[in-house]
Amino acid sequence: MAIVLALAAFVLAVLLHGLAMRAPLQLDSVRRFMLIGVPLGVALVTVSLARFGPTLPGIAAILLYALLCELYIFLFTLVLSSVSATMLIMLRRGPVQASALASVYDPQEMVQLRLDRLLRNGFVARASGRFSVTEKGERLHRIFTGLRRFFGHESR
Amino acid sequence: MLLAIAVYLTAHFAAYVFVLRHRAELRSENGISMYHFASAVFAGLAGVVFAVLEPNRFGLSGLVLVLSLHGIYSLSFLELWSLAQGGYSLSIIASVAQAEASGTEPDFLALAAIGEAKQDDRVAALVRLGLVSGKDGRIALTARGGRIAFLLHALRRWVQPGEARKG
Repeated sequence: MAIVLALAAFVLAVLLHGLAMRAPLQLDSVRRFMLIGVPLGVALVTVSLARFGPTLPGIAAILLYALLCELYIFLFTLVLSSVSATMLIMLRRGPVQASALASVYDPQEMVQLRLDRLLRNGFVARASGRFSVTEKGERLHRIFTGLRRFFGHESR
Repeated sequence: MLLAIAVYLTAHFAAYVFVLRHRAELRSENGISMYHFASAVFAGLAGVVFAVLEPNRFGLSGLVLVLSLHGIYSLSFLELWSLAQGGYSLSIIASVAQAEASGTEPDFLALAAIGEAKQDDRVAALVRLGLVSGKDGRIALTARGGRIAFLLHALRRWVQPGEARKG
């Protein structure tokens, strides 16, 4: 029962996210999902604990919901920004000459797309034609520089 | 039960932090994925055994709990690992920061070249995974690739309705 409740909450979150993506909101896709997923998660925790208490089924339901939400966010951000996912979707139109792939999927356009997103989300700023990294962007850069070192990516 | 799986995942993470992260095999995408996949299979099998032996105290809920906790841990870890390895947006931030420090313009053309190299790598990876095939210089979806592309396109249509007709 608790597991079914978690699955139902997740399906509802995905359906409402689809609707939110069609609404004129000034929010990116992840924030739109959080707007729906977090309150639903809080409701699930409340109902689970009230109904099942801090038992195995109650905690399992909460964790299952959290996993499904994380997986969903991972998948839709992948679909929106991954090079491989975009290539696969593009190839649905038919085979492409390997040499023509670069022109069909323009790397410069990809840089522009990411740059626009960074500007929109406040990681990079542009003033009088010059780009600069904001405090938020610097923080992110510091964190990932540390992570690169931790995972050993820098010594490769 | 929650404590047992928490201890197991802590040990898995500690083994990586203190011993395994320095090994070359775990610095590759395949290596790190296998490290987590093998652990998830092990935890899942242990969960199945417990669910069968203790259907009332553990049961399906216990199995779901084990897999969910492992899933959250592994997915978070692998996402961070992958982002730290070569996030494109992070490369752009680094390029802007570098240019800012040296008083020059960011070299976005160099970043586009990285994108181009990345594109070649990705095609090779998709061929290895059996999702696309290259014949006579043409790249096409395989049957499996077609199914995956269908699902990806459906998800893109769901979350980006304005871009839906492009795929």
